[in-house]
Amino acid sequence: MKLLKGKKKDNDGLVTVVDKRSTPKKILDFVINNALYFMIAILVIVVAIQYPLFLKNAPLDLLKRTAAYVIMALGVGGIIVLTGTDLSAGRIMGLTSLVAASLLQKMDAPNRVFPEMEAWPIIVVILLVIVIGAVIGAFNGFFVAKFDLHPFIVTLSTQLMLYGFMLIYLGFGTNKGQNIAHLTDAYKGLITNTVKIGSWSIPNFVWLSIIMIGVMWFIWNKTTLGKNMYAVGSNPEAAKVSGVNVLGTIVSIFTMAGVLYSINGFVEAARVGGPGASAGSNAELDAIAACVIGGVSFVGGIGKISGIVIGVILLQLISVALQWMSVSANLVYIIKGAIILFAVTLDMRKYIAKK
Amino acid sequence: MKKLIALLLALVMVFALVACAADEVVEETPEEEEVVEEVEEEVEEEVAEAVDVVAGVFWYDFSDAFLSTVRDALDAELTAAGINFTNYDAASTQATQNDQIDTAISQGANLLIVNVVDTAAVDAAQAIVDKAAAAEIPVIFFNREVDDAVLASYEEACFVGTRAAEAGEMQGQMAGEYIRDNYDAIDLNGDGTISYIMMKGELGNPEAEARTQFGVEFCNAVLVEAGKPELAYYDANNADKFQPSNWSKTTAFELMETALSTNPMDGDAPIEVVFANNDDAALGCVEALNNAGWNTGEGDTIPVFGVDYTADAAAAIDAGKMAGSILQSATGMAETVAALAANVQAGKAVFADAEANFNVDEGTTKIRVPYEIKG
Amino acid sequence: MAKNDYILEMKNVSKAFPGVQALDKVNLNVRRGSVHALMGENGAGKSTLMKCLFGTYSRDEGEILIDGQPVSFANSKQAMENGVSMVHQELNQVLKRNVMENIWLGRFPKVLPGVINHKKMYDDTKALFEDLEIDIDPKAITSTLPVSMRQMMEIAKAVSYNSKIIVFDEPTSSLTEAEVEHLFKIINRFRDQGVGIVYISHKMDEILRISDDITIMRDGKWVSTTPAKEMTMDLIIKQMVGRELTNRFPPKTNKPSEVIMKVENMTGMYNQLKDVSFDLRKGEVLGVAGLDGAGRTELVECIFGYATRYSGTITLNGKVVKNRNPKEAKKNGFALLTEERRATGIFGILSIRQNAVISNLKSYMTGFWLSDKKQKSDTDWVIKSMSVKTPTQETQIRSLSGGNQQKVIIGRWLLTNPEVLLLDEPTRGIDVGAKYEIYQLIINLANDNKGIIMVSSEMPELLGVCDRILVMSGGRLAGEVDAKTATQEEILTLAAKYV
Repeated sequence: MKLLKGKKKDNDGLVTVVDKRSTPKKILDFVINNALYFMIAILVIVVAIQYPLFLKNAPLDLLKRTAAYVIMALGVGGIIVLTGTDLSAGRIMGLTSLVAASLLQKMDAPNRVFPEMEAWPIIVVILLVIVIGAVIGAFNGFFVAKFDLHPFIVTLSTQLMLYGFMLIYLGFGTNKGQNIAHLTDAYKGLITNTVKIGSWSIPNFVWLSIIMIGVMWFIWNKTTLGKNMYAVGSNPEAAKVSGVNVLGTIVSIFTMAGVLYSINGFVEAARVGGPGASAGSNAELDAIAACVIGGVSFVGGIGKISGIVIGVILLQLISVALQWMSVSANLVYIIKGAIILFAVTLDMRKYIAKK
Repeated sequence: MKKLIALLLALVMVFALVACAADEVVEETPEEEEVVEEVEEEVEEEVAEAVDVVAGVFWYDFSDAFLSTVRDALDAELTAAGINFTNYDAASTQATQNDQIDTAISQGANLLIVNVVDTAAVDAAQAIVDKAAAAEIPVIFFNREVDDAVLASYEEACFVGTRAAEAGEMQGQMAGEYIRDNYDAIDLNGDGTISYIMMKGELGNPEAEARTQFGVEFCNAVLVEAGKPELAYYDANNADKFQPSNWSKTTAFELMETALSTNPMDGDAPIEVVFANNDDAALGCVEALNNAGWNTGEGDTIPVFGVDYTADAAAAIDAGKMAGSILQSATGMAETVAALAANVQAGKAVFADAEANFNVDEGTTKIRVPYEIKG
Repeated sequence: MAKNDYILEMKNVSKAFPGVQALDKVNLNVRRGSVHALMGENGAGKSTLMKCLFGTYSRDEGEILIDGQPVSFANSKQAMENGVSMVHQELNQVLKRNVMENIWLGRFPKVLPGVINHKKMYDDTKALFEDLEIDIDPKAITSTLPVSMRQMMEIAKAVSYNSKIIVFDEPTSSLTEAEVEHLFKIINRFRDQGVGIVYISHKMDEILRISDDITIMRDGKWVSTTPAKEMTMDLIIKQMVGRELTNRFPPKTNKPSEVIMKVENMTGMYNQLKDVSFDLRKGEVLGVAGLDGAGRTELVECIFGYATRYSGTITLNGKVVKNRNPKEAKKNGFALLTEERRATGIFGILSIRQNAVISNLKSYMTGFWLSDKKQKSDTDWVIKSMSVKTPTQETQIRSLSGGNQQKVIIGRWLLTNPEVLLLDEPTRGIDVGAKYEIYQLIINLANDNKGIIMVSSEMPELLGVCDRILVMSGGRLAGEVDAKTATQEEILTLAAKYV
């Protein structure tokens, strides 16, 4: 069969268009479409020229920050591919970080959630928080898939419930609402002990994040679940007609996200130490922003693991670079907001079919 | 039909979860009730004109660690005094708090104990006073500052708190003396000037503003008096002269991590002293310093100063990771509020006998609970 | 091949929905190695019958036998696994993913449980396409392919189940002549291999060419099953409509007069349209023919300002109009009936009234609000003058038949009192009976001195309704023919000019 020349019409999705605009306009278009990368490059160059230490010291700082945030973003990313969103991500992370911290407190801590209890074996705690994350994620996914509710409203509800549970949990034992601090050395060490590579001391949680990125890349690209996720996000009807278990796919993706948040919670409790009621609060917003900046589109069915990682790096780079440049705190909010809006606009621009 | 069953199943799940959570709460209630009964009997014997007090206690945010300590203490005090009370969480939203107050008044609350959310403008507190005045019930503000004029507008309104500037002044005084006494050890790069970093709480919050300003000013005053130069901000280009840590440990931790990469401890311009508006932020800085091999309790240490003297901070000070903190007495505050509530219970004016027993700002109905230096 | 060797037997199948008997004891017997056409107007119950076969609906009574064995599938997946597959009319594809993922979605080849074998998936797709002589890159992103290729992809997918029975639901609606030939070649091959094929289509010439037997349904009832050899087009129409349709087209009473609109050197910014010039007269129905992708839709979209122009001028009544966007075009007296009624025509869940008045809201303003009275009376006018069959004005438009929906949308535009009507596929997906009414409407509008451009992929209707026909090819104007004298062959030759 011969491909028809000049065919272009389509109602949704990516479209190849005939484009008869002048070359300068096309170049401008290219620059606008990639403006984010140009801006970031310029930002790095400017900061690097102004502060010679930047290139030496910032990369490790950036690496650690990225590692700390990327796991949650990987979870939210899958849900965004399903055209959803997850407002409960931060609280799931918060609750699991509280649970992890409370079970791995030193005996001599001034306030303890379980006053008389010795710290649990770390592996049991890891499994427990993963189960908690999975159950909450599955709960979200079940309501979304079974009753066709928008994830926005489902996760908004769970987010509120989880906050309540967190406050109750913090009130247990002799803790009385305080942050859960004084974690066992074994736990802190597991997360924050460093491996020296060249002049960089890389903490363990960075390795964990790298492994998680690899695992998620594999799941997204090499497994039935990943392919089904893209299919359901892109066209749930087609997926259903093709015999894909749509409900199962949605629940699995939410469950997987819950597991990722709980792993992030386990890391976060030890990385910063002493999580309290505000643990994880609003963390999902950074994760969602990172996904969107990285090209995971809210139209569904589109997104790559590499994009998510780049998104997290860019978002953290902005924070780091602005601090290096001693930008006033007030301006930081404005700049961050503007960059996110800009990124989303650029993203959508690619999917708007030109007529 | 399938859907219906699924929905029911889902509901059962939710209720099961709630029930699990509720169990924990219920366990404590019987004890409290017993106490209430006992106390009520006593009260009835002693004071004839006693009033059954139904108090609404309105908290600006349950997630605040210091206020959790106050809440714990206040719960105990009010329970012991036989006062019926309910805690409300405004979750940092003034509008939520206003709604909660309206509802509580309509339910018959006859005492408002308010930890107002919005301290930047007088309107929020004024609106609450107006509600109280309209319902003819007393209102006790605490912890978060309320304007004098607002209190003056209603005789049954009063405030229990600390003086915003005081924590900063005391922190500055403490830090100044500490630095003066150990000047050469603290001046790591030996350039004769001490460079500092400041972790500021919420932008626009009067307490944060005061602590940020006076912490440095009072420290400088001590240093200048001793013939030393004033402190210098570690990042000379930063016009703010603070990092916005938002009372948060995580945020402070990350700001400090980056600050340590711009000004490494082994470089020419290390950070030599840390000021933080609250202990959470101070502890976040300690974590970041730990990662750089500093302030682990042994070996290299720079002084870190916080405010609040939380249990964690106390432990960090004992371990040598922090230089000091300023105690905002949670129990002191709770006791004072409970004493005023007892006035209402006894049928007296809410501010009765306050001048005699407490440290009151002249010409106002503001009780100041003193801070204490710890470290 | 035994005469009565049935591969699929559906006996006395009935299905009722609240208030409607959708199927009433319908029989369909498909012989092994034959093409069995299933015909009927929209709503006759063809798709309901197929949904009963695939288990999407559970039937109320009747039985289904495959190879003489009674079956009852719970869902389409089970049906496909048992050798019954379907090429859907609506392309249900995952556009953002590549071709091979679409073909194997729901049954990916695996190396380990849950882990996909990409190489096998690629090789299998390649082999499948080679076998069917389809030239598509298995790794191409589906959305970048033209609709005709996506249709072929869907056919390949149905084939890949190694089915004994394949149902084709309007498979040729977006295929070119050459592609239709290709499809028929594939179908003939399967017939020779003993596959039973159910072929659903509105295109009678195709049916008469390819099928062995024809079953006709009307109003949920079985009407007849006849060998195709014994059928004629008129006979089919008569049985489908249930009455004699003497003329497929109404008499042409309109008289083209002076030029109302001139289009000169029109080229699209983002589409293939190149250097198109023509004029349109008052009271004229000007047809636009061409293959899929020839730029017919793009032409009317460019005139209406819905697609961006690179160059070109439009002159209306001697005055140049810009038509930079649809709003401006509407103000200038243009109206566009879009090709995809469901996607860009109707507001499905809104009432008929809201659908009718949406383009004309400004004229209902009395002070600061909209006058309900005027809207109601205008909607009444639309319903009456277009003879829309509906219980009330408040009825959701999606519950009407395609023909009635189309009438409401034409009515919507007539309320704006346009001078030039651009009708893109006005009879797509509409019953034979309703088509006649739409044709009559078009000719009446021409009688009212409107200028009408009618885009269609059905050549008979262009020849039957239009005065002149423009033939597009590869984005350019390939020629113009007189509808009274032209033949289909003439038009096809022109349509292939720039391909």
